[in-house]
Amino acid sequence: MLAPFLVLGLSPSATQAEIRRRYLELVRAHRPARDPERFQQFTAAYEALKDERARVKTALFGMAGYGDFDLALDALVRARAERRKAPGLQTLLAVEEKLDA
Amino acid sequence: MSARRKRRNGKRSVPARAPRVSPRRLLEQAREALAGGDGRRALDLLRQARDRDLNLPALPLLSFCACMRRARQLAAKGMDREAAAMRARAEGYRASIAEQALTEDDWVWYVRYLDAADALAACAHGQPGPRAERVLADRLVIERCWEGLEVLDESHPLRRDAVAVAAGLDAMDAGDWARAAALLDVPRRSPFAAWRLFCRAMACFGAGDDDGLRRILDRLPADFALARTVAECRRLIAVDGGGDGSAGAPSPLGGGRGKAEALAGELKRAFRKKNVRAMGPAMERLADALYPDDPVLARIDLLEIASMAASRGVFPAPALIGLAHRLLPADRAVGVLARVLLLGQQVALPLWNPSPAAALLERLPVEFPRTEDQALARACVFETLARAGRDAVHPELLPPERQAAVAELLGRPLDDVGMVFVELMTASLAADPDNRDGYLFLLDLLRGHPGAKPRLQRVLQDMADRFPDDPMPWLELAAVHYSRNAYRQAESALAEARRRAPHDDRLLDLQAVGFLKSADESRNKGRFALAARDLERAEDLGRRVIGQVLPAKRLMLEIVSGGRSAGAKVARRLKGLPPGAQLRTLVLLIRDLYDNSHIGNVGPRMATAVRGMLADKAVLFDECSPEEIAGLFEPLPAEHDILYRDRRLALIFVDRWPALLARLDGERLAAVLDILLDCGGFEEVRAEIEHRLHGVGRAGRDPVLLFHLAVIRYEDGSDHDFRRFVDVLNRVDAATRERLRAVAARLARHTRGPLRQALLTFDFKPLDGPPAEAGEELPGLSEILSLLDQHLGIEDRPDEPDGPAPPLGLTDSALGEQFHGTSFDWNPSEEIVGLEDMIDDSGLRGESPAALKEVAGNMRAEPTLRRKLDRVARACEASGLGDRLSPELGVLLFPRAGRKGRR
Repeated sequence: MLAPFLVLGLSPSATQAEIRRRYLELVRAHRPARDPERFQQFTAAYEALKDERARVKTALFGMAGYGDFDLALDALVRARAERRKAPGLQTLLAVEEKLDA
Repeated sequence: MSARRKRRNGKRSVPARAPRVSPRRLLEQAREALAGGDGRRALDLLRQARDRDLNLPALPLLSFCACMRRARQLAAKGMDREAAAMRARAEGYRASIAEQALTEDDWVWYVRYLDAADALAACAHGQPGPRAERVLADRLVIERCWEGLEVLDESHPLRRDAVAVAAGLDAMDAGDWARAAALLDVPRRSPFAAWRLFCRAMACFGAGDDDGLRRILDRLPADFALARTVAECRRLIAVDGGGDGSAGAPSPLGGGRGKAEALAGELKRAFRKKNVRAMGPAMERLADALYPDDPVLARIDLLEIASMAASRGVFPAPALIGLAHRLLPADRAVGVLARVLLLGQQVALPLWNPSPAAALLERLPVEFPRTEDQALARACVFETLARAGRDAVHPELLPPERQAAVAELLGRPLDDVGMVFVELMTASLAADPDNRDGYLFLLDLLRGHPGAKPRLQRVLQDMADRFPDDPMPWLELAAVHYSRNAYRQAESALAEARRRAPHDDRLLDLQAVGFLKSADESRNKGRFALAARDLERAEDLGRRVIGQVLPAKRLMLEIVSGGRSAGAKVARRLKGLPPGAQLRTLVLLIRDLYDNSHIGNVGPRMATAVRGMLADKAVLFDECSPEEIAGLFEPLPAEHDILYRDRRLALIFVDRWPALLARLDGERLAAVLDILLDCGGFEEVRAEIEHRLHGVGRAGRDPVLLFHLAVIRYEDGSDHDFRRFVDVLNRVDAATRERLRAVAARLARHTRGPLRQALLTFDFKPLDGPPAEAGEELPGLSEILSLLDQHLGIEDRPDEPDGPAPPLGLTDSALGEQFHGTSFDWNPSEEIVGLEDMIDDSGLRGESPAALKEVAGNMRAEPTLRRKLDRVARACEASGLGDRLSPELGVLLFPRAGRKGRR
């Protein structure tokens, strides 16, 4: 199941150490008092992946929470939006140069 | 107008009088043009300014800059000769620049357009100012020309800080902005400081820290080299956390969720209309947008979402098979479907079916390439099957083919069908022995089997070995030993538990109850002194858990040990206790007397005497508040399982004092009814509710009681009309509906199968129709697998006999049943069978394509028939059934596609 990885901004092949590190980074950036909704999202995603057993269970049956089709799709799209990718410097420069020309 | 025409006309055009612009204004315009990147216009304006006043001080610098700008533009277009000529012109203007007279703004322009090495040399000799140095720093990072730094003094910030910046460039290029920010350890006033801020900004962007990003972006200078990226970041975080990603220029940071949202909207519309034909492409596009790195993973997620909706009966199941075939590689489709079917059993329970589990286990190596994950997955599958089964069905009612399927799954025969879920859970723990929650579930299963105590003990011992620091298995073992009257072993187990958790409340509670148990045994053997000592030891522990039963135990010992009459003893002990405690002590005493009536020293007259007191004590109920009365019905705590055969007392109260319930109302009544149902008092609850509803008009009937009654009648088989539930729900407001939802969740514990699921999901439509009987043939995964095999193009498909294809109805409707227990409302298979029959009856079988097309044209001339044919055609295409049509029907349904169908 892709959604927890998208929420945490990780590849599905991420190791447990990477998952934990990423979760701690996100929690530091989104403290519960300051950003409770995002904190909850990241925490729920982490709970689904926090150890090997949880991860396998999520991969097998993570869909159990998908009741309403519309709501489930919205959650997946929102999760994808969280997965921002900051490109490298050369990519950014190439775009700036193209726009300058 | 051409020149020739002008001469013919003999007229001359009078040029318009150009407005007179001052040289200073021309210079300003040239600066603006240059800032906007328009080198050609800047050159033109500067030429005009030069024509007006050759001695403008800013002219050489601006001319140089404009020429260099233009040269770069020409070089970018590949016009190298022209670019070289422009550079030469620029050098000519450069010679006229008086560097010592340049202002800070002038220096910014100058270093922006000089070659990097020349700019560094100019900075070494001139006074460029911090802004110019920052611009030069930007150029150094972008152009990576560090060689010219030697002309600067070692302490010059540009040279001093360049080392740290160069070290971070690889990280910046790789997009590892957090690492880059750590490497760019430069002072706050460094010319490179903006780059450090930018690295931190990009790290925040990647982490989704919009607040941090916003703060850093506000600190970046307005003329930073990556101004567009900065602006794009601002835009993305400004609009509801994502923006619409639809700005005109391509964003280097990707779009927001706009594109994915639009595609999701398309998919939702197709799903609502059950337009399977449109869903496939919509899912493909959305998967690509959601996760371009590996769209198959996204497709699996989307298919699973659709499948779970299908489990709730809102989508035709056979269409999912076609979608799975279309969206997924062949080796993934069956595994995903098997998984969905297995989980679907927990959502909309048909009779419990282990076939999907078998198919899923076969495909675990594909779903989970790592061996460790396969073991965990295997354990998870078995556990899911066990939990779903326990909620769905009585194991004794499992039909033989299901039992056989489980035996095959386990790899050995089932000795006792009643233990089927125990065996499945045991197999789960064999694959994943570190699953503590799994052990707890297994213990729960074993507790439900009276003869399973030895096995319970073995599992507890295994658990204690597996989790050496856990006191819980030792506590449970102590309780098991107490129940077998093995006191020494119970004390040993308690000692083990105490070593691991010396202050554990449960341990102390169990010890107190253990003393009471020991006192019971001593009393029954006539060792009254020992019994009294154990009662004292129990009391000394001061545990609240035995507070209710200790007076009854003392009384019991007094009565049994002889002396004055039982009645006087009881009266003396009860005096001074609160009314509720008196009643409860009496009931507990009666229970003890009956439980131990087989013991020699417990005489029948004792029970009779005590029972006689019950009638007198009825007046105490008037002194009890409704809370106290409701509290009387509560069962004893779980620790008392070893003291009493049945720690539930509610039925005794109801049996002796039926009028007690009349003192309760509202939530208290609902809670007590729940307790009574827990005791198996369905009849008592039904009688009470019917008594309360008797004579009450429809409008005045309590919906909570009606709901209870509907559940009881459904569960006992007297009324399986699902509309009883729907009627109650339709009559209440939103707040009461929510209250009924909570009631339903509570009542679900007392039910099984479809009613339980309906109560848990609060959706009673699936109850429409009688529940599945045991033994009814329900499909497993085999039909689905055979259908998929056909789709996956097996080359050595056996030749099919001439004539129409066999009816598809069984498979398709069976698949629908598998998902939601009822056939979905429209079955294309029936239509296909009907059309094939029509072809036979009308003599069209074996006709030429031309003739068939003519007939098709005639049929489609009628709008209703045309719509029907189109509908069937769409269903065939979406579910991949086209290959199963006869050639004649293929032409009727797809007249433009030529001869389709089986050959």
